[in-house]
Amino acid sequence: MAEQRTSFLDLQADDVAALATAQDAPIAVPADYLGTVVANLQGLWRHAAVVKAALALASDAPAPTGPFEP
Amino acid sequence: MNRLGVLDIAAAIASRRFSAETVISETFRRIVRDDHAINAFTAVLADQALSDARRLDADIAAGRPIGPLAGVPFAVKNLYDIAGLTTLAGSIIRKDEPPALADAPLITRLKAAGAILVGALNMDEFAYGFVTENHHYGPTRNPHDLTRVSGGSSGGSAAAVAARIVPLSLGSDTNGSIRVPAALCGVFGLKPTFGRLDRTGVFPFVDSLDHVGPFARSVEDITVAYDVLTGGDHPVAPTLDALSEQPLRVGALGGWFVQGAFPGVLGSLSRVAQALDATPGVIAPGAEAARSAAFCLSAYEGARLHDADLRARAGDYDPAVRDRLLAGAFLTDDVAGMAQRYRRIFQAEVRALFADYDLLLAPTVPCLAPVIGQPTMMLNGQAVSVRQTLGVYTQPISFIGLPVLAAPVNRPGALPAGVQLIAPPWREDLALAAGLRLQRAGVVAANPPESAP
Repeated sequence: MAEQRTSFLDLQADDVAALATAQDAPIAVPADYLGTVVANLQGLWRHAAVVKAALALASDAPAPTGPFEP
Repeated sequence: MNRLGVLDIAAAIASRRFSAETVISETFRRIVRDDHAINAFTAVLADQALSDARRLDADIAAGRPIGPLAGVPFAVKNLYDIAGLTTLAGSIIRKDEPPALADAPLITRLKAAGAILVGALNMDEFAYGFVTENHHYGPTRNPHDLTRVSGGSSGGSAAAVAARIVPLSLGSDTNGSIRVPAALCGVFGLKPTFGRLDRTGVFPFVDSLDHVGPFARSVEDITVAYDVLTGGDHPVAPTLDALSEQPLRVGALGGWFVQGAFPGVLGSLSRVAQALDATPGVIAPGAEAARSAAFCLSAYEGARLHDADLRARAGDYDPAVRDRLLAGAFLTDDVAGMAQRYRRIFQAEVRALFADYDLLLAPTVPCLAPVIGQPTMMLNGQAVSVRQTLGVYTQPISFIGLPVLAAPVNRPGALPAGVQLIAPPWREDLALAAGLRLQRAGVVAANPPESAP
């Protein structure tokens, strides 16, 4: 899967819809379901924003170094 | 006979009250009679199962040793490898794959204990859903009300047990896929600690989050099955009685875990909390972000797993699954990294709660079973997607891999509602012991519908 130039986390809400049809999109979305994919993408952007905001409150938390252990 | 549970059947066969062949024949009679309405099964293994039953009967007649699940019929979600069958994982994309060469190890363990595999069960495509309204194979209908969903993604596994077609089934749970259908169909479902049970031979969805586990209609039944599935290390059943009598400090999660819950669900939760003398309003900070992180990780990993097929044949997916997987393809690696980082933070927050509580309590789903095809439901005054919301209380818990017994509150004649009994990591025994205590007090119980569909 090709890497994107811009991190998904750096996008603004208004940019998300354009992402699905961008020249450098990581995957081509057929026009028939572009609308529903964009709706899902916007949902994921909102979820990512929630996590980003929560992490900002715990900025000293270290990045994980190994597999998750319950 | 169909009212009998796992332990009842095993005891009846061991004592020669029934033959295994009689039990398996009755199981297939139930499938033929009832499954046209429920649509839980996608494959039945009549010849093999009857052959296994006859072999078991011969072993018993010859006085050879038999296992603790001897003659117990069971079925598995169709993402488990079954030797000789193609592992569909709810899709048509995989229907031309070669048949599995061997059973998944968990099936092998159940068979080694004498259980008899009778079929494969319907699910949301590739386990990405909470409703089992499968685009290709049809919806699995809730045995309590055939107009309603069974929950998902292990909807066939829950419905087959709730309809008393089989007393035992296996499913998988990435974000709630054992617990949600257990709640909506009114049966017990156990999601063990992340990594506890072998996932080999189970078609993956999200490697970071996938769990596997059993469904049954009583705590004793699910415990004996769990002990067999773990391979016999540290069995829970021998000490379950004693443990259920021990004092338990229980915290009922508030905040995120009750927001938007329907009155019937809150009332059921309150009965369980009262029976366990739970401390109310315990807050797990960050549950909303944990759920969001689970959403992101699921879409990210799911999209990468399906990358080749999404590019080559996206139109062959269930549309509800396809659209979410395609959206996940746009998530960059740092989104997954962020989710994994937040996972450790939330884990530490919840771990701190276990310093004060042996067990945490939460509702399983915010509502009773929605109607099939219902697109939205009201949550906190907002219309939200049914498909994405049924896991609102389950996702934060599986995100950090905690063991959970999903237990049906005793509501005879009413649509089922369930609770999550959430234990510290590797302490499935505590969740099962609390379940047994509640079951003996009449607070939780599977109440299969009296009438056949």
